[in-house]
Amino acid sequence: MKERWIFIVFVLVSLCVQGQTIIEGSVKNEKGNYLEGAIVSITSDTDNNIIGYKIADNKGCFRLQINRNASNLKVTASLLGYRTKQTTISNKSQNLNLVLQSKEIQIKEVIVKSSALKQRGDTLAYSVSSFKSRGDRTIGDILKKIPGIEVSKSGAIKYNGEAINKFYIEGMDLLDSKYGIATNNVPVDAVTNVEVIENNQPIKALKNFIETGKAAINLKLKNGNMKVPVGTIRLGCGGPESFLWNFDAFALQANKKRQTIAMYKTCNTGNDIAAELTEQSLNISDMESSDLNSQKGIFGSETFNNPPLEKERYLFNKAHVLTLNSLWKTNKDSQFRFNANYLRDVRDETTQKTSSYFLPNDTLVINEQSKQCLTRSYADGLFTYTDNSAAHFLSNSLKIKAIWSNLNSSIEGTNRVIQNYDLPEYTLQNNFRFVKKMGKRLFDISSLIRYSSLPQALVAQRDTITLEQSQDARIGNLFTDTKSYISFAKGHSTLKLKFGLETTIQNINSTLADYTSTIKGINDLQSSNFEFTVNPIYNYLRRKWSAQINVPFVQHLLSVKSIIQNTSNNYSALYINPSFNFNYEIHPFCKVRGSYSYSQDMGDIMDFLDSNILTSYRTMRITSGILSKTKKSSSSLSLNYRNPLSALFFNTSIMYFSSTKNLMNTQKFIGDQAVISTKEQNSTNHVWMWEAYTGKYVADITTTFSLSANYSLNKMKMQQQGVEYPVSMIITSLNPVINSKITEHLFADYQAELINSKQKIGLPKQYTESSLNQISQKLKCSYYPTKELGFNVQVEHLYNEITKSTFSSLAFANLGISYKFKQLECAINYNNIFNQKDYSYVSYSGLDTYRYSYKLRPAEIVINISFRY
Amino acid sequence: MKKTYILLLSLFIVSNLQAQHIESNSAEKVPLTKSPRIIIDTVSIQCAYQQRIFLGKKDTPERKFLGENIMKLQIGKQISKYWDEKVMLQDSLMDAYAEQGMDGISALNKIMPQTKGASTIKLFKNYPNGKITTEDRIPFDTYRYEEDFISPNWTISTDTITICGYVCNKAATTFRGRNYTAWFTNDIPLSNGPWKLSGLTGLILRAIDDKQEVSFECISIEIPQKVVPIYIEKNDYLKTTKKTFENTKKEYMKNPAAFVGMSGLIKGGLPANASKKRAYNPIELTE
Repeated sequence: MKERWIFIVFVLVSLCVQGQTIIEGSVKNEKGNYLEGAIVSITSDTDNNIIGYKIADNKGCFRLQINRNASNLKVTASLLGYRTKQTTISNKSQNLNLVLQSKEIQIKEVIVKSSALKQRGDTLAYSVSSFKSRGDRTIGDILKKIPGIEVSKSGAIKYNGEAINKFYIEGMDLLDSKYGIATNNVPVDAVTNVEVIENNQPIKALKNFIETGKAAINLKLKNGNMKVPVGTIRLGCGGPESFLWNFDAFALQANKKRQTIAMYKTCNTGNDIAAELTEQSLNISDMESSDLNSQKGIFGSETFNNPPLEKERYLFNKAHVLTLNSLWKTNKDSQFRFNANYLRDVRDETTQKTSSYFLPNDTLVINEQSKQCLTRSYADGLFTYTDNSAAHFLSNSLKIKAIWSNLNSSIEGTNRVIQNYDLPEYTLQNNFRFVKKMGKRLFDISSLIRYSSLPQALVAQRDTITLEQSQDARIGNLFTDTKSYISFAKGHSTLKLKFGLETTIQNINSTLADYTSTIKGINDLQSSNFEFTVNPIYNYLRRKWSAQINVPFVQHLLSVKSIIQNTSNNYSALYINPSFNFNYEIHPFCKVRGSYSYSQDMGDIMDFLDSNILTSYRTMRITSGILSKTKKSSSSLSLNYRNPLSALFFNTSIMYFSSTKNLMNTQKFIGDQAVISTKEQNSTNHVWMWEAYTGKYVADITTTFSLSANYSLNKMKMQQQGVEYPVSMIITSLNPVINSKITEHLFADYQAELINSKQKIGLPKQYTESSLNQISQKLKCSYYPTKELGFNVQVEHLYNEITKSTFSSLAFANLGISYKFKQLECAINYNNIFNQKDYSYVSYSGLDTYRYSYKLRPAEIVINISFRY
Repeated sequence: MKKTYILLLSLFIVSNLQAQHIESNSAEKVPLTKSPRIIIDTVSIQCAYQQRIFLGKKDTPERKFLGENIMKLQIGKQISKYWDEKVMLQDSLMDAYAEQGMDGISALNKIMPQTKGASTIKLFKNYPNGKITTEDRIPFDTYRYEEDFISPNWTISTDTITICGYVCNKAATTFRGRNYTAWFTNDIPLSNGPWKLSGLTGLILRAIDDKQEVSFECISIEIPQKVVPIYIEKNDYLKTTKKTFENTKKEYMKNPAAFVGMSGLIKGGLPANASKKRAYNPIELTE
C-alpha cells in the first residue's frame, strides 16, 4: 500500500516537472495474435513530427515515454500487411491495446536496373591491365596473379589444381604441349585479356556431349591483326673469370589467317634454358602413353647427378635454343600447323668421387677424378592437320624426333680412362583420330603408332691396356596404345569400366667387344608384349566420407625369342591389382585418410639380357635370363588437423611399403671391376615412413613458423661378393622455416634443414653402423623501396659431415638489384660473392658409400638489359 | 612372317572402333545433391541494396574503392536475411543443376565464374529470437556467431527525400564506430534495413556514413509472387564468437599467404602477390 502511494507521488512529481507521459500496451491482429515488429509511433496532432516510437517486441508489447506539452497525441500503429491504425489520445499515461486488421500487401514495386550479373557462359575474361604491376615482364607473370592459376618454372599452367588442356592465342592452338614458350616469353604489353575457358572441349563435335572438366587459356592480343611482330630482346654479359653471355630474342606475329612464334635463346650463365622446351602434359592419357613408356636404354640413365644444391651454382653450360612455330588456317574449320625445335646444350662438370664398397674382408675404396662433358642436341618436327567442325573431327599429326646425346669423360683413378657414351634416339610417331557424330551416337577411331630406335654405344679406353672395351646396342621399339571406357552413376555411387590395350614389339641386339675376349657378350632378342586391362572403379561419395575401390584385371602376354639360341619362350599371367582408399571427416578441423593397395607385375625383354653388357668402364651387367615378378603392397594412414581460428596447423602420416621380387641383385668385384647380376632368390624390401608438419602464424609479428620432421627406415637384403647382408638405412630430418613480412616493402625468409643418415650392415655376429649429419641454412631478404627499384640478398650456409671427424663448411651470398624504366629494364646480379670453389657431400646407397666433390661456378657478375617492342 | 602378323594385328587393334552412348559418357562423375537447409521463415518483402565500401575519406588521395555488392534483404514475419544476390543465385543454380542430375564438378565450373567478388556474409536478424546470427567465410571455412540484436538510437529529423518513388525521412545515429545518415520510408512500415541497421518506423532505403566509406542504396523492392523460404544452411560451420572471428579475418587480410600457405591445402606454391596486405575496411569498427 505504502509502495503504491510512493509510486503515485513519484508519477505526479515527474509529470509536474517534466510533463512525462508513459504509454504502454500491446499490438495484436484481429485473431488475437501479438504482432512482433509492429511500429507504434506518436506524433503531435498539430504537425506530423514524430515525438517518439517503439517497435513491438516478440510479445507484441511496447512502452513509450513522451515529454511534450500537448493536450492530445496521435498514435499510429503500422506493420506491413496490416491496415495502419491511427487514434488520437489525450496526453496522459495510459495502457493501449491496439488491434490491426490484416490486408494484402500493397506497395509500389521498384526494380532499378542493377549492374549485377552478365551471363558469360564458361569463359572468364581477365583484363591484363588490372593485374599488371611494374615488375611484370611476360604473360606468365600475369597468369600467376589470376585466382586459381598456378604457373611452374617451366611455364606449365594449372587451373584450380588441374593442368589445362589447351593453350590458345586468339583461339588458335599454335604451340601444343610446348606452350611454356609462350608463358615465359609473350610480353605483357601485347595482351589485353587473358581468358580462362572452363570445361573446354577442344573437339567441336563432342561439345555438349562429353564434359572434359578441364580449362584452357586463351590470350586476346592487343592487335589480333598485326603488321609488325611484337616481342622482347634481352642482352647480358658478365665476368670476371670467364666471359659470360646471354641473349634472348622472341617474336610473335599474328593475324586472322596465320600465326608465328620464333625464338632464339643462348646463355652460358648456368641458367637451364633447355627447360622451356619441356612438353607440358595436356591430359592424363597423354601422360600415360608417352611419358611412362619413354624409351629405356641398356645403360640406365647416364646423365649427371644432381647434388643437393641450386642448379645455378654448379651448372657450367653453353646452351642454344631455337624454336619456330607456324599455323595456317586453310578454311573456317581446318588448319595446318608446323612446329620445329632445336636445342644444343653442352654441360661441363668437374668432380671428384670416392666410392667405398663394403666387402666381406675389407672395404674397397676407389678414387676417381673426372672431367665430364655432356653434349646434347635435340631436334623435332611436328606436322599437324586438323579439321574441327561441328559434325566431325579429323586430326593427324606426324612427329619426327631425334636426340644426339654424347657423354665424354676423362677419369683419373688407379688408371687413366677415357670413356665415351653415344646415346642417340630416333622416334617417328603418328597419331590419328577421327570422330563423327551420328545422331545420338559417336563414332570414335583413334590410333597411336610409334617406332623408335636407340643405337647406343660405349667405348672405354684404359691407358694401361692398348685394346679398348666397347659395347654396342641396337634397340628397336614399336608401341601402340588404345584406351576406352564407359561409366554409370546412381545416387552416391559411380561405377566406371576402363578398357585398355598396349602392344610393344621390341628387339635388342648388343655386342660387347672386350680385350679379354673370354667374356660372352652377344645378346640378340625379340619380344612382343600385350597387356589387356579391364578396370572397374567404384566410387562412393558422401558429405563426410568417401571411398574408392579399384580392381584392375591385367592380362599379360609376353613372348621372348632368342635369335642366337633359336629358342622362344612365352609367358602369360593374369594379375588382379586391387586398391582401396577412404577419406573421413571427424570434425571440420580434423580429417583422416587411409589407403591400401596390392599389385603384381612382371618384367620385360630387359630381364633376358643374359650375356654381359658393359655399362661403364668398371661395371658389367648380366641378368639371369629369368622373368622378374614383383608383388607390392602398401598401406598408409594420415591425419590432418587445422584450426584457422588459432592459426595452428598440424598433420602427420605413416606409411608402410613392401615389395617382394623373385630376383635378387648381386654385386661382385674382380679388382676394381664390378659385375652386377641377378640371382633367382626371393628378396623383400620393407620401407617405413613417418612424417609430421606443424605450423603456426603469429599475427603480432606477421610471421609464420613451421617445422616438419621426417623419418624413414628401409630394410633389405643385399648380396655383395657372394655374401648376403641385411642392410638398413635410416634417414631422419628436421626442417624449420620462418617466413616474415617485416613491413609492406621488406620480406625475409629463413629455412634450415638438418639431416641425419644412418647405415647399418648386419654381420654374422654383430653389425657395423655409420652415421652422418648435414645442416643447411638459408636466409633470403627482399626490399622494394619504390616501384622501379628492387633489392635481393641471399645468404646460405652448408655444413656437411664427410667422415665422423671431417666436415666441409661453406657460406654463399648472392646480391641482386633491378631497375625498370618504361620499355627498358636493367638487372645486376652478383652471385657467389664469397667465391666458393667446391662442394662436397656423401651419400649412402645400400652397402656402398659415395663421396662427391663438385666444382662450383666462381664469383660472377651478370648485367642484363632487356627491351620490349 | 610371324613378325608381320603381329604388326598387322596390332595395327588392326589400335584402330578399334568405338560406338558408344553419349549419355553413359557424361555420367562419369558423382551427381550433385541439394545441400540440406532449415527453413526459418518466409519472405514477405524482398529488397536489393547496392552496398559499396571504400577505404579513406572522400576527396582524399589515399581513398580506395574496395568493392560493390548487390545485397538482398529478405524480410519475413520474424526473421530477416541479408546476403549477396550472387550467392543467392548460386544456391538456386545449384538446386536447378541438382535436379538436372549434373555432377558436382561441372556445376561448380559453371557457377564459380558467377560468384566472383561475391560477399560471403549472411546476416540473420532476430534469429534466434533477440539475436543476430552472422555467417561468413575466411578461406577455407564457414563460421557462425551470434550477438544481441540491438537497434541503434536514431535521431529523426524532418528532412525528406524521394528514393525509388518513396518519400523518405532522414534519421541519424552513431552505430558500431560510424556516424550514419539514413533515409527511411513510413510507407513501408517495417523496422528493418540493410546490414545490421534497423529500428526506424519504416524501411531504410539509403544509409551512408559521414566519411562516405560505407553506403547502402536500395535499388529494388519486390513482393514475391510465390512462397519464398528464408533458410539457413545445415552444412558444416565453425561456431565462434564475434571477437575471435573479426581478429582472424583481420589477420587474414593482413597476410593471406601466411594463412593459406600454412594450411597445407594449396600445393605447388602461392601466387607472388599472395602475401600482399589486402585493403580491409570492416563496416563495423567498434563493439
